[in-house]
Amino acid sequence: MFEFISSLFIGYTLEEQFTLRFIFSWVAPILVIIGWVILRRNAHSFAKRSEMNNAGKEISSLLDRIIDVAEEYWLSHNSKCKYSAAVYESLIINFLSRVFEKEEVLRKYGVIIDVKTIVKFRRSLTLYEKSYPNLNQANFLSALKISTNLHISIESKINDANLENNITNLINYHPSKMGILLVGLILILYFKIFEFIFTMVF
Amino acid sequence: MITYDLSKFSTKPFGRYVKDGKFNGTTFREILSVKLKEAQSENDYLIVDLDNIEFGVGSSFLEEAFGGLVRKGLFTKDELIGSQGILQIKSQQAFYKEEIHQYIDEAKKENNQGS
Repeated sequence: MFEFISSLFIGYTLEEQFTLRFIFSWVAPILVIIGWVILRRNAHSFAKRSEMNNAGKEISSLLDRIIDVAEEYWLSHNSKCKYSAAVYESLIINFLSRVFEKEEVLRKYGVIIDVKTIVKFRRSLTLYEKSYPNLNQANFLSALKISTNLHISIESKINDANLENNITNLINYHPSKMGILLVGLILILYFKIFEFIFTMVF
Repeated sequence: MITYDLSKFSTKPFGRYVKDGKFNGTTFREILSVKLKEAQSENDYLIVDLDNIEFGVGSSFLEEAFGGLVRKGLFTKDELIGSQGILQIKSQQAFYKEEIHQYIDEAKKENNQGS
């Protein structure tokens, strides 16, 4: 090993050997740091994207289920409807609280659903009692419209967040103390090894 | 500062009228108005805590309980949510406060309706 390294420097002047020594001792660690930062950024970006997309998918599926339940409740004739008013409201509130749980995940990444839209959606679903078919249909259509808008708005906000400048991520999600410590230790070890090799070779 | 925890009334409040069940908005409004009068007489304000209920509260319950305070002429909008309002809502979910304020804001005293 030492012979191999020494053979690399044969034929170089002292000045050239100094330059090579400089390159080996500084450029490589810098490359290690750059590589680490890039890997970390990609890993974070991937984790963020996958967490956001999963939350988005779950919200979408919950919104679909809400609309299914609302369709059954508002558009079925009373005698044929699977749900009583109490069961319908409990189901809707349950689904909505799960939507809000998932929305909190999105909120971490800056994907925020407007409070007024949430209120509008809740009102369209649980404010009124079932009455005349026309009013029931109007209620259902209003809920459907808001749900569709929510789908579109969440999807577009997630897409925007996915495309967000990665430098912002680096600033917001700085490396952990453990990561910095590990890289520091690796660098110290790296310098010590080189120091040892050069002492042996020259 | 007086705090009233909605879960003391019920952890599963539901419905608008008495026919909807025991823990309906109309019954809660009666309790709420007593607590609010109490706060008002002491120049204090009432915090309604919504955090300990199980799933959540439906819109009809909220409208009847809070909007009903104005509709039934028990309080005015300003007394409840004006700059010196005596009603405050505590909830981790921001939409509850917004929704309750909307109901109070939209409510019209029943005698004045259509005038």
